[in-house]
Amino acid sequence: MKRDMNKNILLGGIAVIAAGVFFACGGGEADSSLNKVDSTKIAGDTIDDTKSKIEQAQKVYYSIPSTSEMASLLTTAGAEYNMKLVNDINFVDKYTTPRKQALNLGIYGADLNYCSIYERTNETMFYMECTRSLAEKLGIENAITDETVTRAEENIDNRDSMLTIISDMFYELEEYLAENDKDELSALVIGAGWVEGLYLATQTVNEKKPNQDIMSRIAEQKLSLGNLMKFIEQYIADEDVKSLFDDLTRISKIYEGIVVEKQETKVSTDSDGKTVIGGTTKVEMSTEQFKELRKVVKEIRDSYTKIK
Amino acid sequence: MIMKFRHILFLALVAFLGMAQEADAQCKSYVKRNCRPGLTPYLHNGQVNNAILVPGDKAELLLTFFAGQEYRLMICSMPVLGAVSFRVLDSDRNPIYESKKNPSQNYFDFKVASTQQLIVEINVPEAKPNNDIVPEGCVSVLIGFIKK
Repeated sequence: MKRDMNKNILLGGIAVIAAGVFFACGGGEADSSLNKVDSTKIAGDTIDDTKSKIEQAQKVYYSIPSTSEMASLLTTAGAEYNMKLVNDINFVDKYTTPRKQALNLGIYGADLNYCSIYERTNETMFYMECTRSLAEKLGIENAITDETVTRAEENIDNRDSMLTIISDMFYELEEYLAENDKDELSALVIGAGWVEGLYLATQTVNEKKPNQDIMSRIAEQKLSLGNLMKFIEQYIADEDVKSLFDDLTRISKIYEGIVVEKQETKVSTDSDGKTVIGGTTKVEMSTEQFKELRKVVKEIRDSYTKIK
Repeated sequence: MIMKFRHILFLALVAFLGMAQEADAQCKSYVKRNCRPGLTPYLHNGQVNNAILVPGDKAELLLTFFAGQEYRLMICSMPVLGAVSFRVLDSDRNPIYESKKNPSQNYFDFKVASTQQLIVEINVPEAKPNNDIVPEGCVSVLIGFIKK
């Protein structure tokens, strides 16, 4: 995801454009018509000018792993809900620094998805309140409106509606952060949310009798982690984001030894006419690698949730 | 003179940041109103994947899709950009889906039997310049999955 790509384009070309304005005005008064420019167009730029600026911007979207999807993967793989795993709701008021608040907004957000997908209605409302509370503390309360909370309260017993409301809420939150140039905050929320998803997954595994589907989904998070780190790396000038990036690097080093390799892709059509993308993916994660992953993820996650 | 230049630079900065913010806001409201409803009955994964593109642009992204899930991948764009097309390729760049074969549909529904990293390639058609002004528009990549 390259959010605000237009901003990058504009910043990249701003010196040129400012000089253009200066000379167009003959060094005289600024042209007040600038404020009336149709924002769907790049005023005064030829196609070549614009393309040149766009080429300066990184023309990619970033694929960020989704906490709701991670929770869904756990249910699909047959994992059982474990209320002892989610972060304590009583800690919410004890996170006093913006760093902790942002990290735990991501963590409570992942927990909210986890509770909701397992239809834990009471917990879902508690975790929604926790996310709202931390959003308020971070000054981004407009991202989670009263209307959203009311919709949730009215649909508490309808899992599908609740999941849609939560999805809408996180979309609004992400958009709000992007629109308001809070990319570093967004990186902390998204990164910690991913760590919490992996924490829930790794803690769910019964070491004596591991569910192979869950083990495979955990190993495959190697692919998501690569995407996540590319996104977060953009903001490592911020020391809190750098610290998160270093934590993800620790996890990444464990994943380096875990094999997830696509061997072939087969495309077919099922009886409903829907495309099925299959083939084989080689996944190799030893017990030792899993134990190490579980240990490190727990350490990192606990360092985010602990209160001083 | 220096003061005037600073004044102009400041106004230019304000104008362009204003344009950027307005384009963002337009993108957000467009996606909310015109794109996300099209994911139903799939659940949006909640992630924001919007960018402002211009005619002739190509963009690519690598997405991970997990075994056992059913997905809808939607590429939703503002009409000002014309018929934006997309292809889905496997990680060896073998084509799996081409939207040009289903021009009335801006999404691709599929099931994943084994975890895959797929490349989504987005193409914005070239446009004839109109008074040397280039249209730009929002292109959103949306992913929905079936709740299980």
